[in-house]
Amino acid sequence: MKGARAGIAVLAGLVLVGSCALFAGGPVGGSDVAQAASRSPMTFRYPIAADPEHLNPFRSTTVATRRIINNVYEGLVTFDPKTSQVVPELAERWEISPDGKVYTFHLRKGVRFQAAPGVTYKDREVKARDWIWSFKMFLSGDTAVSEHPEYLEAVKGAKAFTEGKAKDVEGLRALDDYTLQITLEAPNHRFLYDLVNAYVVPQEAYEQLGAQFSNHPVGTGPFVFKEWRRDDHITLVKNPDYWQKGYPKLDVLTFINVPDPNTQVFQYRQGELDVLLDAPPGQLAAVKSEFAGEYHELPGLNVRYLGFKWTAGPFKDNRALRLAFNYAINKDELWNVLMEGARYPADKGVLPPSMPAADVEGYPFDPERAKQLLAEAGYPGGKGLPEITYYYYASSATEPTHAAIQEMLRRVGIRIKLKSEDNTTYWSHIGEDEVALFLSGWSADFEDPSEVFNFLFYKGRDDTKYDNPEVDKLIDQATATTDPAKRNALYKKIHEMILADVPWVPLSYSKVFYWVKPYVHDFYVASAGTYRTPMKYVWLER
Amino acid sequence: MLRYVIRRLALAIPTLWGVFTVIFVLSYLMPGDPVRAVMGESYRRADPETIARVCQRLGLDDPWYVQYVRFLGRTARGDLGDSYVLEQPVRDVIGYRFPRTLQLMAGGMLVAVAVGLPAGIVAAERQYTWIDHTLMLLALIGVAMPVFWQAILAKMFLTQDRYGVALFPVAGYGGGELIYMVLPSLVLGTHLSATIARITRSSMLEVRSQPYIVTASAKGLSRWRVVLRHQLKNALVPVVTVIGLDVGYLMGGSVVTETVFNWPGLGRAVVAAIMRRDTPVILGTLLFGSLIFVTVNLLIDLTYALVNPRIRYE
Repeated sequence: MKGARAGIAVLAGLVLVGSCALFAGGPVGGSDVAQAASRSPMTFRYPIAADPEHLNPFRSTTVATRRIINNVYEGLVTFDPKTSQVVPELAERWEISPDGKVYTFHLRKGVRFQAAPGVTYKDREVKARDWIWSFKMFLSGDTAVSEHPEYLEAVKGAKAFTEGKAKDVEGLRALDDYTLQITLEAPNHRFLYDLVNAYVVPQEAYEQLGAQFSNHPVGTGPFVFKEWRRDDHITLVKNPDYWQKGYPKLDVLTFINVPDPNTQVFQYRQGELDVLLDAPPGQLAAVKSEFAGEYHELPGLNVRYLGFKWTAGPFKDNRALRLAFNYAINKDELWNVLMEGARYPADKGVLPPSMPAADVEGYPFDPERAKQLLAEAGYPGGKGLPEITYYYYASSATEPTHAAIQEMLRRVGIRIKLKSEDNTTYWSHIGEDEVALFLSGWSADFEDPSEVFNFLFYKGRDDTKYDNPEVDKLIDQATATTDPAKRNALYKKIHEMILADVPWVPLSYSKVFYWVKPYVHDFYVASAGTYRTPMKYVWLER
Repeated sequence: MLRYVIRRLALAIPTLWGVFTVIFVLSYLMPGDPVRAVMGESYRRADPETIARVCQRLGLDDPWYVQYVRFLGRTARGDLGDSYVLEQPVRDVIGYRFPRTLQLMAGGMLVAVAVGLPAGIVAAERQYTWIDHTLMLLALIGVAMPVFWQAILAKMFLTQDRYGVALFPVAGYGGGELIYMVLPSLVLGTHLSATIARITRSSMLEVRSQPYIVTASAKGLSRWRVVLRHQLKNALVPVVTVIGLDVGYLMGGSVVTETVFNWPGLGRAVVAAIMRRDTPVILGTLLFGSLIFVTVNLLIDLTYALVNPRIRYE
């Protein structure tokens, strides 16, 4: 027994020494955040609420991933940081044939892929063949390689390639090293927008880094990837070979993982962050007034709505009932009073306000009209109308609105039951027929009505299952219309038709809001949100 | 002793298999479409063909028993597979986060023991005095106060520039520097120290009435010598048990502390994996956690013999 006790004592001692060694060992991987801050005068500390899943441009499916890789990779075109219009990036200019099908891109000369440890290039300069290789990767039918064939699906022969029926993509041609010709199946005005995310990727890096490529992005962008400590921070540094002379202005760009909005405010207050992107629920007004001079806001591209199931349940074929809901809800009270101005009340239609064709007549708050419509729907004073279950996803950011909506509806005679579900359960569930009434939202990537119409009102794609063949036809027609004026007129017509059908109660439009320290300059934010902010222009005056 | 250890280790195998099966069944039965969770925001933009291809690639279109056997076979070979979402082997997810969790666990435990144990001893020795009442009231507050609230208080009063002098950073891992560990360890430890203080107090009081303590006092030993050498050693068994059980809490339950202090630990990874229905990460991390829990509890059982010689393992 004595020996055994000695053994245990040794074991316990080893555990103790092991723990001590762990502390004494200090940084597991080194403190780049602290070191970079002391070494460099131009370090920008940027909070991220969620760690990206990976940094693979072919498979980037979330804003969390894009926020980082936007700074490392570049496309032929990009969004203007102030106007959100499509402008040249690695293509100097382009021509579009009169029939709208052939795009000829003239590539910028002297653009070089970033140097990366473990990668040897045959030729670092970006040429037309690099674009063809990258685009074919995006079009891969193997979801382990790409989850975004849709960026280039408009290209002639793309579908056959994705499905494995063709070895090459018919519509992609290199006319010479610096001229890329892309032929589309049919005219498609969305094509240039979709190209923004279709980056050029060096084949050598992809092949030589192997499995590491997903965690080590290599592109042509203003910043070079340095390190990623998961759930902690990601460090990017200035690309010394960047094609645009004088950019980026920052030396180091550090994305610091801050999942808790309360902590984000504390860190911003203490000067540990240069920008603040969120405020805890219920504290928006307080944080706004604390940093009043540093607050900025503009209309965003997200629309939130109550969806009615189009194909089953009490709302099917009962327009008057759907309209009654629209008139019964006081959106101004919801968003400007209860939620302290976190979003704009949706006083118009289904499009975010900065889009063309967004300006249509909405349904104002009018409880008397709602009562009248309820009677027209066959339920005078709410009699005979069964209690409807309203499904929503659990989120502290929207929690107070649900009970308020319930109360507003009760006042006109409509009884609803609240039912919250976790995100995954909720999104998997709401498409089913039994879910008659639900909360939903949609974020457009850019300011074009197709971003909303083509995904939510086309052939029953939305969870409402809304489908109007006439609307479908007009959406197809608009997608193929290259003249902006004609297209926007069509979109206006589509918008009015949808609104007349009443498939939703549009609840609110997002507000992009953020606080930025006074010493930060050229932090451009457009309606798509801060994740699109081109960090190459940003500089600090300290 | 050695036979006991071998027998306990052998028993760990069916325990872990049981844990594996329960976790697998629960993750399989969890409501919600895993493909939808895995594809995230791009699901609603993707066409049905892409969704079907993702489902097939991940093997989610196989029946549950095929998936179970595949996971079990791979795990038995020591391969925990790759995350559905993170493009990382589960082994790396654990390998990166576990040392960080361990650091926080050690810090929290250090605070808990350093505060809880003396508080419990003093309270027992000064039973029913104002010292006892004050300490137990503090312990009650410590147990009752939510961790996130403690964190807010710590950030308000103990952070940099609060009093014009550099104190502790608000949050972050800071590459593992000790200064970054102070606030999360304090918050995590305060909560545990309250439990330890209360257990120590009641255990000390129970032992105090034993005849051998009376004997020790009767033979003329000083009071504190009796308390520390004779009473404490025997009172430690339930305290050590609580500490052992708290290891489980610290492994996964410290997720709130990890979140409010931006600490890249295992708890956050498990919660994120559950939200994303990332079965390989859920299975791998929880199984690893169970393995640690089983091991720690074996060590705790062996420690009993060390603190109380009457306990023998044969």
